[in-house]
Amino acid sequence: MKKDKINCLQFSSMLSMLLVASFLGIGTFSVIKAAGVDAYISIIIAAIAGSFILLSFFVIYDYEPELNVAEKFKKVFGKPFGTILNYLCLGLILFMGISAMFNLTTFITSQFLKATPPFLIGLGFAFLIILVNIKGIETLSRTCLILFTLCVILFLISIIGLFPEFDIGNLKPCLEYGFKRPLIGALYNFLFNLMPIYLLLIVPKNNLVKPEKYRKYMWIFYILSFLIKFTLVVITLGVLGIHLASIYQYPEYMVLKRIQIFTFIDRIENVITIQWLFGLFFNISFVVYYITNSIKQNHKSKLLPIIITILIFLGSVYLFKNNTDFNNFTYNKVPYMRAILLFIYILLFIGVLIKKKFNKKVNS
Amino acid sequence: MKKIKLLVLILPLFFITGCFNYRELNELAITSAVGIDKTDDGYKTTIQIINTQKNGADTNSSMEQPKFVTYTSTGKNLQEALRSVILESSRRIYADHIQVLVIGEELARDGIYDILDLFFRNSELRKQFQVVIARDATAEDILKVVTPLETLNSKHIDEGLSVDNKYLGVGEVVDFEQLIASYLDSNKEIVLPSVVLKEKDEDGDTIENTESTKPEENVIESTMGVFKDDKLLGFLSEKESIALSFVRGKINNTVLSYECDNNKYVVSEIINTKTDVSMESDPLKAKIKITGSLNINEVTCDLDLEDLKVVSEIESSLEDELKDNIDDTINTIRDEYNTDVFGFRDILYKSNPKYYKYLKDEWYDSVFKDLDIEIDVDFDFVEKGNSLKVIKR
Repeated sequence: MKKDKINCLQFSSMLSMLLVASFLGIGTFSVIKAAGVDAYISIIIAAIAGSFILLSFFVIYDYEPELNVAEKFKKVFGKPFGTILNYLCLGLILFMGISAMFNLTTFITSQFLKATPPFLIGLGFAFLIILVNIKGIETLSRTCLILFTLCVILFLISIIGLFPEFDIGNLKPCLEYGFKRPLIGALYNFLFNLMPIYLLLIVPKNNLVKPEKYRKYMWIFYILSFLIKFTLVVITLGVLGIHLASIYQYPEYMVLKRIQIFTFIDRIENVITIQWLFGLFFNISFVVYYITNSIKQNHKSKLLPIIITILIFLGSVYLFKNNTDFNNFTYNKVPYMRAILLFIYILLFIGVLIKKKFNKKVNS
Repeated sequence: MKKIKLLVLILPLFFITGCFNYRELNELAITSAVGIDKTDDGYKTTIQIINTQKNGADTNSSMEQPKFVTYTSTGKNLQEALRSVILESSRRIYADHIQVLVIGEELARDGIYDILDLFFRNSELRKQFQVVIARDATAEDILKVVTPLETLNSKHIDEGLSVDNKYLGVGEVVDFEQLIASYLDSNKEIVLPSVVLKEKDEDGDTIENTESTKPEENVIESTMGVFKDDKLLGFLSEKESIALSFVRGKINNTVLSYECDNNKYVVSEIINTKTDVSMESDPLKAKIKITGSLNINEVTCDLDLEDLKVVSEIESSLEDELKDNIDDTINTIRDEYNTDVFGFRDILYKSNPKYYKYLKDEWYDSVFKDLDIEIDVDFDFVEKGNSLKVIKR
């Protein structure tokens, strides 16, 4: 298969899309539950902490630019231990993909298509995910850039529509219980920020066109995704208030029902919500791409993405009994899984630093 | 291969566009209002459904039909009562277009908590419908009335509330989501507007009610009902309702008057109002500042409106009138109902949560009753209409 070349803009837009999509539903629920009315402070703290993850991403990404992350594990830690770490990450990422699929199908079933069985909805998306993965990273990234542009436009429309409903009083009192709750919320959000950044390591640096510019774009899109998440949380809390926001299953969707532009443009929440469906769809697609390329870099097989998609689809149908089970698991257990991923990520970062120093010594 | 790819792209359309369980429009009972009353062993629900039948078409009668029909059913819980409507109606209820929820007074006095969950939990239902209390009547009586000017009774109530809130301020527009937000917040109390029947008439639920220039029966917007927790305590008078709306910052425009002479008044329209309520901690004091503009609409006293002093006196008199109204309202609510519908507690909590923590448990026992309140009203006179002077010989 010819090497898939993507430009830095497409690459960075994938970061934004993954960061925002992984936050919707699960992320908002977790951060509001943990931090309450100070959830927006958690987003700020998490974004600052997440920038260190991004800085370490640059270090890892620049090391051995022709290799993806799976190969880098083996290069840094040796084949046996590197393989173990790689497959451990694979398992965690697979589970995140299953969560995203469950989140997507449950959201659609509960809000739009109540009588449609969730597995049929999942099946429909599964076909598309398989198709986009067979096409390769070029199609995936191009799709992402187009979808991301649409998402930003829809997001801006929602902000304009919700601005008149915003009440600053709903964001008070600030820091009533000190910094403890915002820090817990920040921790949740920080762990949510990790996976999207980590996932992008699957694209080798040599696959980028004009790779010297990628850092600039990554920073721009990282800040953009922070602004989107921050605005989302502020608007949700400012319009609904903490009591409603914490009782709704999908507060960021419910707040869209309040949109009214020029008194005659209303009831457009289902159109605006398309941005989330795009985001979650891309999230799952990229997870499949990651797993496929972790197992076999530059794979030619079309069977592998099909198998992984089916795994994710079946996992989403059978792993969680219901929404309550999913929410409890996401809030109580998933942070530990993400913490394991963080640990592996830090291990890789330290390994790369040591390798770089060692190589420097050898060369000198 | 291309055909397979095309199939893969088209196939999901059948699963995710709602075709799996579509319902034709003529199978839906589009509900415009719901009324709930209390019974001895549960609830009585009244559903107002839009009548989509064309006059004379597909029916045996060529007479004009009402634009809505109402169905009543009972049940030991609300879901049962609502679902039982199917026994009478040929269609399943489609609740996405509810405009009004009418709660019977008896149920409101007993507590509205039990009826909130169903409406809140239902994802098909939009939460932006208005909530009102049926005063001195049942919700069933209110929803059956065929109203003049508006073809739908629910639209009459909904539009009536909006117009009242916009131009008079007797009733505040409270949608269901706001009601839930007030209920969930332990620092806030619920207020709801009410509706009354003008007169009960046996023809009130027929088209005959609208065939005269003066309908015998009509639904009229009434004053605000005040709650504590989820129980209705009582209703305010018109003046008190307007004063309450001023303090809560819900007034758009209203009419204010004062007696300048024996049975003679100066009446003005208050516009562009803004209310700012703040709480001072030490000593505890509530400060209410109201600003706005006033247009003189009616003067029946012999006053020289071209004299700046006179105009200034009119301003002061109207300000004092409003100040007294607000003061009386606050004292009435404190003495009779002891419920903080003004939002002082919530403002104190948001501005000084640490101080509020010490007062929280004694708020109604002592703090609210003895709260020092400072009211400052500042109106700017804008215009006096077409006439420079008072009409006199």
